[in-house]
Amino acid sequence: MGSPERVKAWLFLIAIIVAIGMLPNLIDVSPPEGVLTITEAQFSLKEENAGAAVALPHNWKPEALYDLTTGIYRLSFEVVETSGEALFVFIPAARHSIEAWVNGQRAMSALDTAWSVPASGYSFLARIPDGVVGAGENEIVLRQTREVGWLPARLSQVSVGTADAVMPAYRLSNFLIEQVRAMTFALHIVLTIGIATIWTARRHDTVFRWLGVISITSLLVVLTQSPLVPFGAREQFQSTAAISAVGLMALGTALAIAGRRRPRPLLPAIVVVPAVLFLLGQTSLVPFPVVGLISAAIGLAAYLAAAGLLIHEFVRSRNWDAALLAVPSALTVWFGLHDILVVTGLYDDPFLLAAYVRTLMLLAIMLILMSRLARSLNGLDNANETLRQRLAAQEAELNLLHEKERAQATQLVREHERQRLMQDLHDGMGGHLATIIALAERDGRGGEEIESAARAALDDLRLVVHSLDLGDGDLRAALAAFRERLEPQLRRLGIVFHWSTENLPHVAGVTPRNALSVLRILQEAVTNAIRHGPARRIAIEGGATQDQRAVLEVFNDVTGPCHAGTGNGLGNMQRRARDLGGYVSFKMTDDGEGANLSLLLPAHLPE
Amino acid sequence: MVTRPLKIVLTEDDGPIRERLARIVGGWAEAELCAACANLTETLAAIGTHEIDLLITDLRLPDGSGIDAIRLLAKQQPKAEAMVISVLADERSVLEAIEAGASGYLLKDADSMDLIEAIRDVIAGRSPISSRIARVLVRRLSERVHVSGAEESERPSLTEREMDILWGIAKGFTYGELADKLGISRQTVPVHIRNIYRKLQASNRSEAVFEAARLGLIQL
Repeated sequence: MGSPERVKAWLFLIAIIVAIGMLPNLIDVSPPEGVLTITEAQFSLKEENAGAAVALPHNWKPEALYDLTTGIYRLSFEVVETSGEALFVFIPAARHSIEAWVNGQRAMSALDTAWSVPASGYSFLARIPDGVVGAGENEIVLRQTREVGWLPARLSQVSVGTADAVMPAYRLSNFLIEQVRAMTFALHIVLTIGIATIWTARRHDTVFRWLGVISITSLLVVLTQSPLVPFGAREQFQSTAAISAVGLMALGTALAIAGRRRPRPLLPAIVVVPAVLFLLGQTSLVPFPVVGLISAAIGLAAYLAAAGLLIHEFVRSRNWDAALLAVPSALTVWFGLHDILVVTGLYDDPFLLAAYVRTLMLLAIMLILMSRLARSLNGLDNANETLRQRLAAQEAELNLLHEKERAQATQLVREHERQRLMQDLHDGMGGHLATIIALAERDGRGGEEIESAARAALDDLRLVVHSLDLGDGDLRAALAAFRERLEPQLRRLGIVFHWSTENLPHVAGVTPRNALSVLRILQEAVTNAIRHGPARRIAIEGGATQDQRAVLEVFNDVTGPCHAGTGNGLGNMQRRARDLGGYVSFKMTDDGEGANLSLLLPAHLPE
Repeated sequence: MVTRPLKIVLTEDDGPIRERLARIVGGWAEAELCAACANLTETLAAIGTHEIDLLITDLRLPDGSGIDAIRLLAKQQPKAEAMVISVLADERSVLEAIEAGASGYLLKDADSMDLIEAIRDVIAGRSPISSRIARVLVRRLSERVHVSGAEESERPSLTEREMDILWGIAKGFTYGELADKLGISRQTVPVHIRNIYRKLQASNRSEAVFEAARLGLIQL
């Protein structure tokens, strides 16, 4: 991958992270418009005190961390005219539990659910009892009780209005704060069960091992944070110390997804680091807040390393699993830092955000799981298809081989048969004929006829034998064997012989049987020329007609009175030619001193 | 031409044919028939005792194959030539003889003129070839190229010209037609044939090994 591509990949991921990181800023926590809004209050930490005037939003801290203290806000507002419609006290963004009194009467707030976590920020809504608010000056007393931890208490501006005016804003924040958490918790449980199931079936897969460990651990942390569990300093500390463990697990997951080797100390560190932090806290060697900060710092550093690793892996090899996990990892760092700043009071923001990254993280894990499933199913399909194709190819190859082998076997059988036949003819009849020729020559004049008969028989035997072997069915090649036999025979008789088949076109269907017919016609023509000419010169030429059919012509000179054309020989030739789908024509030259026999063959001889 | 008469050993098991051939050779002034043998034993003995120029032998002998005689001759008297006699000049036995060292072949019924002409050609370094023999050769050579490839050096390395001639003859062209096509003299065609035969003989040994390996491969 080229470097511009790498830069693009980096920018792409960073842009996504920044875009998601900015999302919380879009949420409007200002009081709804057109509603009576109170922007200042009298704040005191003791019931009896009159308190000091403060502007809203306002933060406050107890003198000692983890003290369960209550802060009291007194707010006043004026009503010109009462309408009789029910009125509500609405606080868009507050931290820590609030109870509200209007003109001395308790305004009942919406019931707390397991998912409202007042410590990390919420929206408060309470109904003012009917008839309590009257025209003129009214007073609201808000008692804000810190139940846990270190977080500064916070109160935004306070609105008083009808249901129509405040409900939309309350519903939105209620959805974001409570319902999203509920859904996340459900998703978390489902995914944890899913991952644990896969993990038990795929023990060797490090990605699932890490995902399983991380989701089980973080589920335990979530459970300890639930308001249903009695929450003390120790529990808070446990979950704070666990942050470092979860961070280290995220690093392990990132290493597994990037396919890198896990550093040996990582696995023990997951147990050892929180344990050491816990012991430090327990023995009071280090104050709780410092232990919590160290744990959070370790956790965030591990998440940062994981995010860097995953982004690099995505940039390097376009591993989308890495990209999917890189985004929530980076956001964990971002939101974690945000929360640390809020907790330590260095930055003022109503809501803690880190809990929301868990939703993203779980979504990312779900996407990774699903894409892995899809990929492995696709892989399975591909493997099946590849196997099927390979099998088909092998089958085809096998068939081809079989076919080839069979053809070879058939050819071998034919070859052997031909060989045997030839051997028999050679050893038997051929030998006898040669002997007869030798004997006839020895006996002198009386044997001449025997000799010529024996020679004719031997020639014919050769004709038959040679026609059996046609090679590739080439007529010219078949004719060559005939020529080779004819040449010495004519030379012996003192006949000048000319031969040319250069211009012979291709003829298809030259089987041994067809070739033998052609050769017999030529043999007959030559025999006639010798016998009836009697020829002193013979020429055999192959050529083509205008429509590219093959013509074989036998020319000879005529020295005596001519009888050709009437004998039985020509009839035989014509019959053979007809069988071949051709015809034979015979004519004398105009001067009567030559004869010409032509054999015209079709382009394709009959099978 | 040779100044002294050609010393010839003739081997043919059939009595009348042997007598006929012996008569023709004996009647030729330029030759001297050293021995007319009826079997392999006599032939081997004749090769052992006479220094000869030419062995003319039938292949099927009552006590063995004429090819053994050709091999012995090639070993003991490498300058001597060998020809085989056959009724049909069938390509397999002729090629086998050529690979053993023979330079030409004769038909058993060849008349005296043809026979003497054939002997003269062989002694002058020219070899005959039929289209059928050329076809078998071409097929074998191309099979070797297909099958071996790697064993390129093992097969007879024919020149392009020699391959052209072999192809042309296999296709049924006459020497004259071939000579015209290739722009050579008609007389040099048989000289090229002789060179092809010598290469076949040289490659015969390694060929046997290769052929065995090929068969082994097929059986695997």
